[in-house]
Amino acid sequence: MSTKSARVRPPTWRSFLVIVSTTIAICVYLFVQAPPPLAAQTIEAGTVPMRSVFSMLELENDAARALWTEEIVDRGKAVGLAFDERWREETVHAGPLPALFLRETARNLERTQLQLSLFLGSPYPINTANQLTADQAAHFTALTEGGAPQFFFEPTTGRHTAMFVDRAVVASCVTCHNEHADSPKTDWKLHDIMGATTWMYPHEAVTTERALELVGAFRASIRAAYAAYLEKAAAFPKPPVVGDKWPKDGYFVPSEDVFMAELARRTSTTTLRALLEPRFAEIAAASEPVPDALPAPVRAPELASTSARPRRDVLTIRASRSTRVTVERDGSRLLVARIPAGGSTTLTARPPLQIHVSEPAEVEIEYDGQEIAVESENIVIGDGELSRGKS
Amino acid sequence: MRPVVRRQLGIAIGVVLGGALLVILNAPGCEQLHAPGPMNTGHAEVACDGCHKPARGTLRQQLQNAARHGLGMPAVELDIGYRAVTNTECLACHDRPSDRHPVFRFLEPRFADARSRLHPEQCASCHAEHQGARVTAVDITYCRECHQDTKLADDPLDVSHRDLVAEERWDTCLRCHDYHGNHAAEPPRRLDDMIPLDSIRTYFRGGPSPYGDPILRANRPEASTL
Repeated sequence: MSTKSARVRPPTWRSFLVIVSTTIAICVYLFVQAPPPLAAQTIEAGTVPMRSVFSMLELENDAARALWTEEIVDRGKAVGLAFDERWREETVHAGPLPALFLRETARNLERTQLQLSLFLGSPYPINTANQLTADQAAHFTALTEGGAPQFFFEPTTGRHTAMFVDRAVVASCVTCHNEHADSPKTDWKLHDIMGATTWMYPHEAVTTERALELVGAFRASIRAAYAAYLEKAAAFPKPPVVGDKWPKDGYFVPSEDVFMAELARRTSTTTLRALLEPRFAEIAAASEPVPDALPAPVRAPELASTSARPRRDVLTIRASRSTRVTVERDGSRLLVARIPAGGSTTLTARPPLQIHVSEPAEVEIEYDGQEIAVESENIVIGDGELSRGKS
Repeated sequence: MRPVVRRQLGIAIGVVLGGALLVILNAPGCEQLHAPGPMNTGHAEVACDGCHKPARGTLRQQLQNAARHGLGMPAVELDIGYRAVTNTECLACHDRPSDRHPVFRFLEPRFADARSRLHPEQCASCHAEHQGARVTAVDITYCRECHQDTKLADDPLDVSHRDLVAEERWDTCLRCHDYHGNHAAEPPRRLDDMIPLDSIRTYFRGGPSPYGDPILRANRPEASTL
């Protein structure tokens, strides 16, 4: 007992000094900024709202889906190319169906480590694993009833989320889903809302640099998905010829560069404008009907100058409300776009041109500076003459 | 020997032995001495630095960051020494184009319930490392979380999937289908031909595959030095 008491001695001035010195040393080591503090890895302190970037990405996705579905799947089937849900299996000589092309793109996107996610779901999916349920189903209902994209925060993953409608853009969407044995709904019609795309990202706003990076990553993911198809096609018993021709020309498929150049041609103008005017992207990606709160229609400056100094073969389409536009020449699709309310689009193309607009009463069309009468959904600009086509 | 001298000698011996132990533990080839357990199936040749990557910054920066966080000040990630092992390290070797259940798909909002119960969005939820096994999830009925509505119009099985779901026979799923779809064998058409439960459990513990040969084998980790 006495020995233990002898060991517990009151602190001397020396031990006090050691304790104080050690504490000071630890504080200096931990808090004095000799080395720079560990920098945050992200560059997210930007001013571009993520909802605008989501909208921008959705416009790119819309165009990519239309390009794949119409120009590769639809026209490819007509010349003997096959597309199948089991396309990844070695013994199946086929490419991915549109939903699987999107999934392939989404998987490539995840590999970029940018934490940008894309999903496709539906209330009536062929594969029940893609069924929209829980909160996502509620947001889908709001999406279809209100028509406007849904933006919300998903607390369990800490991701900002956007949902956009996914419509049956071509007849084959309807045919395939109506005829598939496992389809729970078999009365789909063209332009029906078949489901929704869901985008997720961890930050609410990004820098312009990061917005560009995300769009670039998405395009790279589409390119990789298309490259995977070309790799598979090369192993077909009768491989299609890869080059600058498309299935509409015969048993051909475009090369990666040709495919991506066509996608860029269809989307770059819109994406550039969306980067310069983030709100434009949200308006452009919004579903019909257009919300009342949209800004008043503004004629784009470049269109005013175009009108004053008309150039040869320049087609200009303006819309006072949101309108879907398709321009074709000789059966080849030159433009597929959704023009937002007050927006416009231009295209340099030789006649004859077949134009389809979803809202003819709300559209003005000029060609070579000359106003074209829009009396129906289908307008034909002929070689040397301007006329209205038959529906 | 005087008590003071004896105490100082004890401290000196402790310092020397402690230093020697640190040197031995950190010596090349001695990593297994401080591993938390045996490597999982197929990982015996994976080097520690195949998965354990250094955290960003210097040790001092990392400690400063942790101290700031402890005092409620703004701080970035809190890894000290090595960064946390995540899906990224797993997918560096195991990412496959035809994975039926890629982890990222479970980030979708509709899987919130499954995430809260299973965390299927993380590889380690079923494949915890240093357990000396292949699959560490014990319950094999987890398919119930997402496949309650399974029904096939042209059902190839003699007992329909719809009936199996209705009867909650969730133990049957993995006895026909491998979760990641990376094996060549076709699922049986008769329920009686299901894989025995023991074979599944043996496979989970690191035994032979009851699903046939793998279609794609994992890549070797770039950082492997063994």
